[in-house]
Amino acid sequence: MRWFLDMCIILYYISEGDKEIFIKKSQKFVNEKKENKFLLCYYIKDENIPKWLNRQKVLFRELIKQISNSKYEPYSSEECKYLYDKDKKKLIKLIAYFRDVSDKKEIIKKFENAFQEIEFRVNIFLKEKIDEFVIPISEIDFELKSHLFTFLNLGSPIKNDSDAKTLASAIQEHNKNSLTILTADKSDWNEDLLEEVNYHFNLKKKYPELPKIKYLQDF
Amino acid sequence: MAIKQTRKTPQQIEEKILSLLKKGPLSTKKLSDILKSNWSTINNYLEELKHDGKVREIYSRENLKVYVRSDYPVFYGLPLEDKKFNDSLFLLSKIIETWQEKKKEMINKTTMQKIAVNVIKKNSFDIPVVRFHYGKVLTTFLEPERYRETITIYGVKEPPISNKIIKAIEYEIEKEEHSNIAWKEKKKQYLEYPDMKIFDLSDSISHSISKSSIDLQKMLSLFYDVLLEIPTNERYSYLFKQYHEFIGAVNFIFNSTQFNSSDEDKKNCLKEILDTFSSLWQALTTEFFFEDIEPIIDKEFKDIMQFIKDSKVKTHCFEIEERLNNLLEYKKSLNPRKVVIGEDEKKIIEILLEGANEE
Repeated sequence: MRWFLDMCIILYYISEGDKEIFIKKSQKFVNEKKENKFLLCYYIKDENIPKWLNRQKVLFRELIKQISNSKYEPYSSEECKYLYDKDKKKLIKLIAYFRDVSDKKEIIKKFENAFQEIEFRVNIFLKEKIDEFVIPISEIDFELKSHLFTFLNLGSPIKNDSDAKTLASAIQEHNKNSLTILTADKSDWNEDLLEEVNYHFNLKKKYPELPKIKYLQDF
Repeated sequence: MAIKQTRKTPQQIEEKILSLLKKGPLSTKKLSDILKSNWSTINNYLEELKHDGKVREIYSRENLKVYVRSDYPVFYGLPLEDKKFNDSLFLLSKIIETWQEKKKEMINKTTMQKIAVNVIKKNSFDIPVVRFHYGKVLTTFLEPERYRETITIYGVKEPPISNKIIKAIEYEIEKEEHSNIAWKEKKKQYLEYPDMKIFDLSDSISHSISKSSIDLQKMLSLFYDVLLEIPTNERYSYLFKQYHEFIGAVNFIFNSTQFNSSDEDKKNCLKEILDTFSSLWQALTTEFFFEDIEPIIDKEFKDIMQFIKDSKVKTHCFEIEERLNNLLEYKKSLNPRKVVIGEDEKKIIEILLEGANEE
């Protein structure tokens, strides 16, 4: 079976702790790969993962600013526009976690090591677990991506261009060679969304086949 | 009887321009207004003076060009209020003379600046001090070998508090152990002033990288220390980000399997690291300089000062990005060594990767 992986599968696989059930499920699924093939789109590899890594760096710089300068107004830095509310919650957790560490340099060292470890694990995953990278970014069908974008997070002011690009890549690849999408995002990625392709005259002709979506939580 | 009007010779006009520029930078427009001549004529004279190396252009945009004398003794050719300019040069010249008299040798520029800063700080003299590449200095400078020429050209006069200044200089030279060795004087200043910690760290980095056997962990630790000293306000946001990228790359490189495999590669890589650090340092200390001098620059000149600052910073940024890209490219070619991570690192990973299904 050919599995098209969402970025969250990688992030869960490389994570730590036992608080989230997805971590164990992702590790179990990947480690029991057997004859399955894992696919990843170039968009996730070349844009989305680097973007995610950069956001973690912004988050960390914000952490240093907040803990080392009492006059600093939280999130006043220009680059904080790249942070989401969920990132701000993580920052609160990090500050709480390091509340008793007075040596700020130790925090920096630990964070740099943790960041390096994340990069290391991502690289190993890409090298050892992915069998094929598919759909170069330049080949993502703009019309398909835009159509998916319209119906993603319908009604919400927050639109997700990354999801649209990833799903467009999956549909394009599926029409060349059958695949199944694997994600943990039940709220945004669903077959109703993919069905929207069938309501578009051009796209329906271009992409007559739609991939199935499976969820990590159901394994 | 008709008054015979004498026409000024080109030489006289050039001398007049140079004389007017003793007060600091002036625009072509301002000079042509004062000299009652048209813009294009004065511009031609200025181009000629520029060609002869007597003036330099510090600002040029559309029809506005600003020139300064080549020998104008203020960093970046910025204009200073007359009194501050005069007192600053007076102080420096007296330090040169007093040192010569007491020590029977020519003072070096670093020692001269460091003594000047101490004299100002200890006596609360109203003379501006700024942070620059090598620590605290005055906004003006003098070449000890040619200082007489400069103070004559610029007509430096004894200020009303000259006796107080001279006494303070004598005290500083006699009682405070200054040496004529630049690095010792820098170190002395870095240890004396609390806001000089980052300068001391920068010096320690240069020192540790130049040693034959390099302690990588110590060096990395110094790089981290510098990060904590970089101001976190928006003004320094770009540099803070670039410096953070830099230490991330250095940490990765030091922990790679290839880094220790060849002495030659290691040497070249350390040079790249030091060069990148130097570029960051130049940009950071340029920012320090402008932050400190801004409040004393006349409102009329603020836009031009901003332009000068931007062009300097732009050059530094270009250099930083080029060097940082080299390091990041090099990083891509390396295999990271698996490091054993502790519980804290695991917790950080856990927090950062929480809620990945929303990514």
